[in-house]
Amino acid sequence: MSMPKIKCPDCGAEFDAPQDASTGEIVSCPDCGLELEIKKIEGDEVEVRELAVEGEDWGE
Amino acid sequence: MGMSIAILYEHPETDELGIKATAQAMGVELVHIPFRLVSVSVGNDAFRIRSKVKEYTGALEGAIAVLNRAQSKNRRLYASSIMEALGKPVINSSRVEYICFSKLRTLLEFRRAGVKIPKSVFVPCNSHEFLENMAKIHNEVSIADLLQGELDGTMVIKPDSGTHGRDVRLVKSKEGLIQLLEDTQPSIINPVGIFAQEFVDKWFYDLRIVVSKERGKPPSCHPLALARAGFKDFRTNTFLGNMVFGVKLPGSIIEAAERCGTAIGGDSAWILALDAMPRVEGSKPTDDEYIRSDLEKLEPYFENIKKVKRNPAKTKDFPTWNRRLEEAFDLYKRTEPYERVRKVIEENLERVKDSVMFHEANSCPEFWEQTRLMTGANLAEHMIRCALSMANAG
Repeated sequence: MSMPKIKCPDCGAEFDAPQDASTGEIVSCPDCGLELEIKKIEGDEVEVRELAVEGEDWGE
Repeated sequence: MGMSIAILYEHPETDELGIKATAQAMGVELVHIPFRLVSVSVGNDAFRIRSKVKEYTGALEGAIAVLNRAQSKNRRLYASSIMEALGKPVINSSRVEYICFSKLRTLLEFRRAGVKIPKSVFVPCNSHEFLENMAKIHNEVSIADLLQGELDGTMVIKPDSGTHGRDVRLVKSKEGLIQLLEDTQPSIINPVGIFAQEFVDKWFYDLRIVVSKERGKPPSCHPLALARAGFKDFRTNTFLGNMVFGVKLPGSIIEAAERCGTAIGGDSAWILALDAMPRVEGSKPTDDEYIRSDLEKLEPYFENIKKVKRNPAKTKDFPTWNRRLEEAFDLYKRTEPYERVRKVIEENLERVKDSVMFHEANSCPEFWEQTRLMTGANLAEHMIRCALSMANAG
């Protein structure tokens, strides 16, 4: 069985969702490292949302 | 020959999406190099940057210059230093990042350039320290005495390094000051010391001024500034419910801003957003109810802007979201209350122009959502031009 694919919304890389992936799980794009939260899994389609790992030193 | 500029960031905000869109419109190829979950490998014979599965070394080697848009201040400092050591022109330089990291360092540069600054005090000691036997010693009262020995009356305690008004507190009494110091902890960006500043009566607004310099050209200050205005809090940032206006700057402020920029960035290429505040005091009308009333009338329009800004679809369909944002700002700017408040600020600024004080410089400013739409300054264009000017200078 093929793994559902995740597409990184920033760099466009496509990668396999982890086995037994579930909604709310956080994965990193292996290409650019962007943190993504799995919002929905429907068949082979996985909807993700970008997450910002915001540290206390974030600023302009 | 295809020329690309690299952009480093860890997480794309609308600013970074705006930089990409601007580069495209300018016909410049922009290559993203992530700067968080990557390995930066340095040896005598090789340099390498790669993520778990992708190599970015070639992309960096092929770039003629680098835009450093890492949001973490520490990461940004590392990124600029690495790029410079590799011989890559970077906007902004590590010197600029190092100075802008700290309010104190920034103020010292402004002072050296002869620019007006608010009186500021730094005590290089933390509120509590530990002895060798782990016993805690308390320095709150001593620090309070030192601060009050320099600043009369109301003062503002703020982190030397920080943004968005976080942990900025107004202190009116010694008891309040000691209590605040008791609650203050060192952090990864403020490891040592307490920073305080005189409270400046800026009436109801302060300024965000854009200044930049391309290599081989004189510094240039954008003629319009972003005024952040409101009576809700002494901190004027918009996270606290204040509004924004685009105001024309008097020549003397433009000149001072260019001196500030040069003091930090020197002769190379750089781009900065400076924070300045007017000392208004006696130069304001005794009754400002009409301004409060106009600000109230503007609230629904500004709320509409905030609603668009909050839309999570902004990164999914950036062009559509951006168009909606522009429309929302346009509606807001076309109102009579907006025009009246804008005029009040411009007229007051002209009156108090010699009392405007510069107090902060931002090396990686947010600009796409407010500064660009209120002042017409698309900082992305400036950044790209700065980067090109460095590359062209070889």
